Amino acid sequence: MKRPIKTGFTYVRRAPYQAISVVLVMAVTFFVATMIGLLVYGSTKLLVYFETRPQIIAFLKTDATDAQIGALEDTYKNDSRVRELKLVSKDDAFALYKNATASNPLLGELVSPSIFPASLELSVTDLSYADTLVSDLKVKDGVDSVGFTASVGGQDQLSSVINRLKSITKSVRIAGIGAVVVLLVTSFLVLLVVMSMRISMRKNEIESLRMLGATGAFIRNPILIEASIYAIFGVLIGWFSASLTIMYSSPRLLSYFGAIEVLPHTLNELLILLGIILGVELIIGLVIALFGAVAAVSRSLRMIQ
Amino acid sequence: MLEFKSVTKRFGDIIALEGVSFEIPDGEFVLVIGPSGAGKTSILRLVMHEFAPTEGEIFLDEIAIHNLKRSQVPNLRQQVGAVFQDFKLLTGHTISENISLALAVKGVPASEWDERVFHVGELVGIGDRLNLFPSQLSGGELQRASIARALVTNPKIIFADEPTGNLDWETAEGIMKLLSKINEEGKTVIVTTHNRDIIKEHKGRVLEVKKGKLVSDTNTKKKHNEKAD
Repeated sequence: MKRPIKTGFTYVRRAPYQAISVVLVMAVTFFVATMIGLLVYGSTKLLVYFETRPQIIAFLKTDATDAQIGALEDTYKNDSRVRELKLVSKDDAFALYKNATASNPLLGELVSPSIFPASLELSVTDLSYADTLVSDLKVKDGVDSVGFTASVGGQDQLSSVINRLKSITKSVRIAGIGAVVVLLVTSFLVLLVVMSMRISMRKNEIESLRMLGATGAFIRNPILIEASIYAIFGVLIGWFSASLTIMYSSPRLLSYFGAIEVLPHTLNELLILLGIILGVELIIGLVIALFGAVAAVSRSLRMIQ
Repeated sequence: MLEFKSVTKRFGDIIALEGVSFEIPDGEFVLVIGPSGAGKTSILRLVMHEFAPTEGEIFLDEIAIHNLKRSQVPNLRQQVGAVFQDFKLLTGHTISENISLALAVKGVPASEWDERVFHVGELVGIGDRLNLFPSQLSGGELQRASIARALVTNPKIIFADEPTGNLDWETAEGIMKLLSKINEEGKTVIVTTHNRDIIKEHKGRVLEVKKGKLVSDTNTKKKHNEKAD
């Protein structure tokens, strides 16, 4: 394997301008691919954030018994329309109140947990189930009143926000995948053309090797390694540029989106995400390079018996 | 031993070789002569399995060349040391690297290359030119390098196609002497040529090809010896 690697690097050195052009085209492709990968990650997180927030809150009567509360929990835990269910006890509600009024401790001193109603917070798997769930909950024993999460408005507003996010996420994914596919095809074609040029420049060399008894693999391997070098450098440059850009802008992005984790909050998690993207890109880059090189070299080997 | 049995090669309507049969035992020096287009190079190309015969059989020892699968062709070519009129040396590599390439193709360990390259370099008389590039050598030296590349893997047979075609008489004579020397060391050597001076000087077997047919198979060495007796 030493000889093909050495020969592959020699081939790259012999025509540096062609090598630079292929690497740059691949770098642009993988810069965009990395950015779109992060955009898809961020938009998915945004959507999940809104979808998984408690959308329905059932306030329980102050005299609701533990048995009633337990029965309600059992019923909705196993309901396929419910994504998540959380019981907020009187004490939890009191703690939440105290947190909210931490700047004015006197407000917290004046109340006791007993005046706060316990509640069940539910998020639905699909917003279309919300209406029927609200109606069901309203007639259950121990339930006082039922409503939608106040922070994002009523059902119509929540539905509209999520639908708009879904539509944006879908558009981002389609446009992103479309752009990446076009760039990948362009990279493949540029690589194919350059490799074909390189092979036709080496026609005499291949012919001589054939006459000496070189096998297809002996001739092909250095060319595949040359293509792999282009792919690896292209991916690394594109990914590194995109990673630097995202690391530079992440503090501003994170502070803008607040609690929504459009990017991982810790450096370790961000590096893991970027590492996964790099791994996937290396695989895609190598597949493109190897396909391009094999297509170019097979044609030429068929012509030179 | 190389054996052609009623070999015919057609390219559409054009007949390159027709019913050619001959046997070349191990250790023989054979000239294949004839005018341009007679079919001399087709014999080499058939031996190298650049194409298969339309009819007939070709054997190199136990290898049935006419029946060879594509995957077996590299192995066959590694056993034939081919020398070409246009040398077919790689211009971007030194002479030493060009010769080593044949060893790399055959899978000889890299640790043996230097010694073997130096040995054949000395044998063909270009020991002091091994680190030069082909563009820095004369025609005769290039042909010697090409012969060294053919020899370095110790093939069963050396097949030289018009090795003196691009050379002046003096250089050509030197190349023929070198090939004779290689033959004296026990290698089978087959040389195609249309050079009358070389044919006149040659003492040994001569196969004459005209319009794709083998028209004569003579041995001038035998005649020479008979006359001497």
